[in-house]
Amino acid sequence: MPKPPKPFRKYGGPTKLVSDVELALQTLSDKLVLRQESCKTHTVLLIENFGARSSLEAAAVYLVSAIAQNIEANLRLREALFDEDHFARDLATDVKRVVGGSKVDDEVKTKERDPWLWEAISHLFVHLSRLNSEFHAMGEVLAKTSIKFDVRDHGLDLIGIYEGAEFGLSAGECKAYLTDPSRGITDAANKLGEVESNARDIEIRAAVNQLRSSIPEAKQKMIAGSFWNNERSYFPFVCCDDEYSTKWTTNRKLMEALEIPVEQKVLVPLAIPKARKKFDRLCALMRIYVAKESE
Amino acid sequence: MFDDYSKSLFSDVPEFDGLVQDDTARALSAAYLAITSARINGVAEVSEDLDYAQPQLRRIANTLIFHVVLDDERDSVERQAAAFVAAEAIALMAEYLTIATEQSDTERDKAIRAAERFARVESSLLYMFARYDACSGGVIRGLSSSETDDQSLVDLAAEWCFEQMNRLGSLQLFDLPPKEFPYMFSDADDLGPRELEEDTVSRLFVELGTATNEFCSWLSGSQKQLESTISRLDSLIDVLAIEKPSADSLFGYEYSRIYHLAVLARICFPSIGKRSLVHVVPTPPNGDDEAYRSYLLTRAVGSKSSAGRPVLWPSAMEFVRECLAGDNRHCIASMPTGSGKSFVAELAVSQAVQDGWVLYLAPTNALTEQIRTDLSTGLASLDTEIVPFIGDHEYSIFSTDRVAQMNTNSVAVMTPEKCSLALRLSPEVFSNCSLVVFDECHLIGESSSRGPVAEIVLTQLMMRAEECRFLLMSAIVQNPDDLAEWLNEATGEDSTALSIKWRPTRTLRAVLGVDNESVQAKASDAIKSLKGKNKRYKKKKFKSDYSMASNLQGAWQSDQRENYALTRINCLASLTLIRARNPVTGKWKYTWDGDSWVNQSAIAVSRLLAISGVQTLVFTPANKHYPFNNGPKIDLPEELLKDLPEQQSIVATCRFLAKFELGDESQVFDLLDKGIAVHTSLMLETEKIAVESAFRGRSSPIMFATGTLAQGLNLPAVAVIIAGSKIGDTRGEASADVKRRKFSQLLNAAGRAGRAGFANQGFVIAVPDHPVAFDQFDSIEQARNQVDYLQQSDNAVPVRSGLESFLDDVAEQSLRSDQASDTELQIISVLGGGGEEQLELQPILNSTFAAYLRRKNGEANITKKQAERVSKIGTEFIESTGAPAWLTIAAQRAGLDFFLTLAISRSWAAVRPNLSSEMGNWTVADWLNELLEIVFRIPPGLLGQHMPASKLKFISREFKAYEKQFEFFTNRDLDWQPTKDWQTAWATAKKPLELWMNGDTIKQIASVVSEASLDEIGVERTGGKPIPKALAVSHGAWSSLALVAGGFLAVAEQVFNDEVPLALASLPMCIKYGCNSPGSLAWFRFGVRLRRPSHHLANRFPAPDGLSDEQLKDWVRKARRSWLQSGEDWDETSTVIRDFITQ
Repeated sequence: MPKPPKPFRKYGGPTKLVSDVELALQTLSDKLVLRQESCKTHTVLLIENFGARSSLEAAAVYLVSAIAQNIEANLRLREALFDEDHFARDLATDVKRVVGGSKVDDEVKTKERDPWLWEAISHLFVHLSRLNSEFHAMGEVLAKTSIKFDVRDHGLDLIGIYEGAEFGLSAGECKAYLTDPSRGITDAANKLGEVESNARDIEIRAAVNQLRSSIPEAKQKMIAGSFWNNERSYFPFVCCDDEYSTKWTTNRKLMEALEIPVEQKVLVPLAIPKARKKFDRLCALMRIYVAKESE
Repeated sequence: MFDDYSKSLFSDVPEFDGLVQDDTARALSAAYLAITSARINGVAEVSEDLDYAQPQLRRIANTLIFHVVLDDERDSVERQAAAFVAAEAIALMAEYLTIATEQSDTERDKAIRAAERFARVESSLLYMFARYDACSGGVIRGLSSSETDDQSLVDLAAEWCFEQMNRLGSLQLFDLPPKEFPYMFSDADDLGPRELEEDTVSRLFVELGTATNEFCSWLSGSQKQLESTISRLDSLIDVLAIEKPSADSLFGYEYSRIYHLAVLARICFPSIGKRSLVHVVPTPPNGDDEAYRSYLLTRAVGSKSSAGRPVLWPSAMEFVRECLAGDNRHCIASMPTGSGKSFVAELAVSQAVQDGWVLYLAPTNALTEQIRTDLSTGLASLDTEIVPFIGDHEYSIFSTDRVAQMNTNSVAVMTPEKCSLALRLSPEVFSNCSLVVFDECHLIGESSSRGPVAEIVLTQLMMRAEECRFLLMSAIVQNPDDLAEWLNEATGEDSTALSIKWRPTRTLRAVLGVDNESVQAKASDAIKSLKGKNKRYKKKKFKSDYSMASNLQGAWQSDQRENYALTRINCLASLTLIRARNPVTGKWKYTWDGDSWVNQSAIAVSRLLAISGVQTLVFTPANKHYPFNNGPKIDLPEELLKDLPEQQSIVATCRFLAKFELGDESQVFDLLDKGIAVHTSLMLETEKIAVESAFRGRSSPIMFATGTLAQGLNLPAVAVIIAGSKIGDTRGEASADVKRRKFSQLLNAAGRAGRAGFANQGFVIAVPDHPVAFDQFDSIEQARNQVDYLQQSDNAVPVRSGLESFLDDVAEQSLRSDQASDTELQIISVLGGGGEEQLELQPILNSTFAAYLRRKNGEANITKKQAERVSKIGTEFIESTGAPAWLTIAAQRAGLDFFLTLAISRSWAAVRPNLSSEMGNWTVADWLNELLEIVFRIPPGLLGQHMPASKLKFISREFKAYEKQFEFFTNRDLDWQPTKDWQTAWATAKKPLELWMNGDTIKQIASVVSEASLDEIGVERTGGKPIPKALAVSHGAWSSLALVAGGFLAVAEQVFNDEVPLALASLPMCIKYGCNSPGSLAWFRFGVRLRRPSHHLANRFPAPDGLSDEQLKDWVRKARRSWLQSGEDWDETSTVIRDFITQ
């Protein structure tokens, strides 16, 4: 029997991370199949082929890149602001510190690793809208918040500004309850419901103020006021094991309560066969990718 | 809810997204009302209102922040106005989130609490940018610590950063230098990605906190450059705002929160910097630069006991710009209550004492005392001597009581009457006065003798002290330009009128009524019940829900329905159903009315507010006894009482001393123990000190007060209830004057709602005299008519001169001593008598405000001939009455009119045709007997100016018999002979007066004036009870008698050729303050200003005989110092007196 091909054959490895990410995004854009369904209360964006080998490899590259970029940004900030020098970092070690090694405690997987992986994958989906607008059908994403490591932070997992017919705001909440997707939908919808109230307004105002700074000045002035009162979209990203998958188009009261049109309440579910193992595999691929150079 | 100034800010905000001025103001008011209602009635009651308010608040905040505040191309007026409105919206959001936290589950609670904390900091920065620093303190005060057991480094750093923001927001800089962030950061090389992010975010929080600290240091003068702080912020903003987006930018999460606050701080700091006390106030030209700078630094930082003032409020800023750094010599500061008037005065004083002394005039002795305390604290670092001259115009010849030899760097604080006396006795002292501050200067418009006296005092000061600056202050002057122009004309120096409407708090104006639906339902039940009863039954009591109508704009001027809101209040009003049979049809007609509506409502609603945690001041303007009627009827729940802050130690000290003075327990303290404070004129000083302390310290959540409190002390509350629309004692007043006084008093009371630095918004609930059932808009209009004073946007009134009609008479030469009014006679006496040092009359008259107003009206100046006519009145008086030539001097010194002074002189001559050398050895008691012999011989029409029947009636039933004898008190005939009854009445005065002066208890005095045994004297303080009667006699009647005694002293001074025995010289003050010898009076004046305690000390440390007034002062001060230093007390009373003195 022929050996399975080595992973990441078409990728250059960490030293080529920038071009690898572009390639990974293109691969995912080509590979992933999107299907939209809807019910009375919300729309469902089904993503297929994520479990394919090439998709997982591409996702692993994106996630490594996310870690590397976050580190790089923090180091650059520290250097600029606190005049701090630093040695060159070992990306393999950093990746391992985020997703762990081959043996990770189940509790850590549940409470830290998987939520981070799912949050980062959710960001990836939004990122892919640059190549395939179906990932964010309501408009071009002009800026979005970064992937954070602290999964216990009480803020929204994703805030983005988009330009469609009007400028709007996307809010995303990621839940990786592998065995209970319904609770994931409920919790995510509850939190997104807070966007309608004061509890999230202050956070959004701060995020919009910062995100605006990255948008061309001509558009900045238009992204003002409570623009998201008129135009906003909600993205509950829910991941589960395929074994526990549910009917995503079931009408849900909490989704109904979100006071925007159905097509702007986009449930993004991902039911993965043997999800925990798949996540283990994804992490292994990340470790393999960062080790690629030494081969 | 918004005053004229804040409304003007709404109009400065450009319109966006259909955000219209009126709608915005209405939305903010409605949100405040909903939040307040949630506090009072419970969230469930108003959840719809809250849900409606939220999106509006968000829209206002987001629109204004993004479109205006953050747009640096807009001008600062627009940006600051928008910042104010946005800050209000966000502060209300924070309040809403606080309520939501109380309702939510733990997990959600954490997120909401974080949002609430962030909102408070954001709002605080916006308020400061908008020049509402006091509101910043109010909103940030609610910033609670988020300490939990499992805090991450980010949590700790955020907490530390917010602590620094809190310190800035509340401008509490006294604990500088602040603690550094106590946790170590790590090198990036030692950190994994997750920890690196955590460490970086923590560093960013600390960086923002450090910038804030640096700014605080700059504000407190300990850091020289603001630029380095700004540069620190710029760097922070730059690294977080990446103009060219790249994948590795850090967006969202805590980075966004830090970025947003840094951007607001960057806008805010330079703006605050322009108002920094240390950096903006110039050093005075002739002062010690170093010492003055040290004062500014100390004052900016403050201390735990004295709030710092690092940033000038708009009022003070304007004053600095116009006067201290500008060319204006004089200033009329017209600014609302609570807008920083006192600090403006302090700044002016701090500069003026550098090369002279300052005269500070205040309308009441209570204010004099408050000013003394405030200045002593504020100017402590300048070592400025604050010398209070307590007393009114009762005559005193004590050298220790004279304004003499005021040194540079000293401040004399007194009433205009006391100053008038000082100007008569030692006019030369005022020549080197460098500044006159006149607080509540609208007093000059009063038509009673107080107004003209104050105006003459000011005019004389302008002429006596040519280099002097004038700062006239008032919260209610509508025409400061007139006063400034007057000062300009009278002194030839530039004057400016600062009319600053800015105030740090907003007040929602509401009217209490009943809910119509509830009334109809409950009345229907009552009708059914009454129908079944015998026709003899005409009334049936029932209860209905209260309702409150609020105006959502501000004053009750609008006649548009959308500007009013109705809110049900969760407590029941007592009403009475009344039926009357129609004599023609025989049918019953049913109506309803309130059952003791005003007072019952004040009691019910204030109780509910107290239970809801709203500190409430209840004004009962109609009657000074109502506070004692209402207070005991409130029963606060035990759980609430247990949770109240503990009473401060001064309360216990005052409790003991009040009991010592009264001779029995004080009801005031019984009420304080139940959480209720009462404040009326019929209280002891110790009782007033205790209730003020308890209310300020929030150990009493409710205070019932009379209208007089509204005009005096600064005791702000969150809610003010004005119980009724009538004011007390309007006898003999023209209706226009009554209305003016009512508006002034009630609007002043309304102005107490909201506490700068504590509660940015407050609300006033006006209880109309008759209940209104709120239903349709018509009912709101009906209520509006009853509380006409709420229609005024502020309490400003045009100030005229109380001397105008007098000057008209002078111009028309129609003044005659035998036809002049009491006030005119007093004015003539003050102006026309006196010795050689007196100023010429014509220039004085032409320099008065009245003369300015006449000129403005096209009328001519007073001619020399016309002025001479006034001077001649005295001469003519002497010629026509055969009075001694010195009489006008005596009258002028005593501040009494010629006739009364002559009556005293003649009566004394009748009592004692021949003077005896023995009189030199007479005691105070002997001179008191002499005075009592004189007084009843004075024609009642003359005596009644100072001692009307209303003051005398409580002394005895014999005096009470004269209460309605109005004719009797019109007799001014100098040849009048006293009736036997009048003589008998005056004989009854001796006993209570002696008890008072000998240091007996109020209860003993009450026993005499009430003709009851000691056992029968209860502690009750309601009207007609013995204790308040005794207090009315002791504090009212004897105070007036002291003025007459001053006249007697002035006459005796002339008769004895200035060789007045010390016991006689002591008589007026002994009568007023309740002392019986020069020694006990000296203990009162220089030992402890409490009557019985001063007797207690005088008995223990009796002063040696034969000492002069000056020597007595030194002796008492030495004896007091020695006792205090020794620590040796001889009984519990002395220990408590020591506590009182040292506290």
